Amino acid sequence: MSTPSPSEARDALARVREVRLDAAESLRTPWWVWAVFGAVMALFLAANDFGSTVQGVASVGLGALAVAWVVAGRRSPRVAAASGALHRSALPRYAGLPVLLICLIAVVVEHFAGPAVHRVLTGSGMPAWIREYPYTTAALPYAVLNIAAGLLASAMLRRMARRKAIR
Amino acid sequence: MSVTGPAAGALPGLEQLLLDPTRLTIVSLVSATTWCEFAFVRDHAGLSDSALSKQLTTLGGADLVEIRKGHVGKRRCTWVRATAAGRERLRAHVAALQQIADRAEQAAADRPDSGADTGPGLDADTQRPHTG
Repeated sequence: MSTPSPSEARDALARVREVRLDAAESLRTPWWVWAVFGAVMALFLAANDFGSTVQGVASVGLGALAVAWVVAGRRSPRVAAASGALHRSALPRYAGLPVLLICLIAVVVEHFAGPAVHRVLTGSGMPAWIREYPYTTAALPYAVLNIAAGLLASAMLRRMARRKAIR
Repeated sequence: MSVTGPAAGALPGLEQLLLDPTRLTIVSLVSATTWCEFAFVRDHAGLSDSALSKQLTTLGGADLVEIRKGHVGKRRCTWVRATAAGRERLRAHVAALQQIADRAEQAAADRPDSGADTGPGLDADTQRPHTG
């Protein structure tokens, strides 16, 4: 067999679509990655309560972790397989834009909501320990916001992969 | 006839190796991932360990996939990914298949009284695309 018949070609195309759809459905970031991401972001925010040195260390640590995650995902099959990431070729070229938009919205929400939350937490009606550690108090909702943004971006990427697979 | 590379006398981009449905399934699956575990491919392709291993050896020999072996704790693990060339060759293969399907559809549309392209009574030229 050197050239498939039209019906064989259609069968093969249907198979490719089915497999790609299956991959887009199956490849999901495991729950513990989100838990670790939330914990890291919570620690990053809480560092604001402990002086500029701790804050600086937290910023450098967060940057190093992000770089290590990206590099490890590219170099280590184990990390790449465990993270359940779709290959960029399975996504449309514009896939980065919606993700960037979600991140921007999350940053804008944090930027505008942050000072208001801080004012509330350091207000006179709050217990002393909250007034003393306002960032640590806000760390949990901050982590939840970041996880929500991450999950939304992940869901959007899978949706785009499904749409590309169907085409 | 070589079992690797484009099919002789066929449309450009058509890969002889990928005409096999099992191999096409494997390459399509691994090309959608960065790296995936052997067990993931085995379960999704519905193959036994030995059958998948044999197919991966063939695909690896044709530079369509890359295989890496390692350990997770004490457990041996095998990971698979499509090579950059493999992704490109799959893309070209799918484009060629699409071209075959489109040509047949176009031919059927041009001759509405001839019926389905796979039905009886058609000559070989309508069943197979022109290969030049």
